[in-house]
Amino acid sequence: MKILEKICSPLGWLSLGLLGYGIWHVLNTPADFQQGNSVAILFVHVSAAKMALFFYLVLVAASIRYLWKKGDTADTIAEASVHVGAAFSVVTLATGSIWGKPMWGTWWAWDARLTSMLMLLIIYVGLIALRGALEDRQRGAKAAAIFALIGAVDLPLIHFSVVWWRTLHQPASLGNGAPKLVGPMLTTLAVMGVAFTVLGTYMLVLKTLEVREQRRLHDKEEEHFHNG
Amino acid sequence: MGDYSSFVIGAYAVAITVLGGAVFLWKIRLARAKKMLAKMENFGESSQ
Repeated sequence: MKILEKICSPLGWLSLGLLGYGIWHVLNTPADFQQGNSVAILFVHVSAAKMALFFYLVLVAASIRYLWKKGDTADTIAEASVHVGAAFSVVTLATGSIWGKPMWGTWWAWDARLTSMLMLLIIYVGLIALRGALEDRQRGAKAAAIFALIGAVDLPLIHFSVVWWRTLHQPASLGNGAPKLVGPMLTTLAVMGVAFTVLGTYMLVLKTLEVREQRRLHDKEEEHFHNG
Repeated sequence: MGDYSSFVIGAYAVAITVLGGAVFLWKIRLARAKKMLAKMENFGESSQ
């Protein structure tokens, strides 16, 4: 955990610089011939969506580690990744909705991709509520880890929803068979993707440190309470 | 091809508010927890 304290602040400044550079790229990217300048929303939307899914993978890895080895560090990282993932899920849904209004003519549609993404946010919020509801930390950690593993079913649903079902949401923007992105748009998406990855890492480190300190504080308070 | 600047500004404002707000909140909570822990440790040392 000492290393996390050391890298936290530099990561914060690095992510701020990369985001500034990313926004400069966004401002200099030409408008799409169909979407106009609303394409600028997608650079944030796609990057945030990748992060929302990535932090669920972090959560799954930390949950398996916790159930297997019972380490406090794994549980702290699991709890932190839920909060970070939830923040990125909110951004994904909100920016998607704002983009959808001018492009689809509606803020929301019960389409497979949108609904499975909303389910991811509900799972994240459910995990936060579950930990808050159980007073015993070990029980809360075990229940949250099991629930997180069950909730992982939603990940392939989100990823393949645009392949398995006829959806309003367009297919993946990157990968095999995806529509080709032209130079400046691909560069901007790549820069924003890197900026969001660094920002997400910073947020995970910051939240992990915060969860650890809150737990230490809680333990101290309990100790003082019992010692009178 | 229309001008969707207000939607773009709205989307970026939401993203900055949510992510920036989370970072701000966690930083405050971390600093507060550290302060409380230091206070409790000082109290523990002085009462011994």
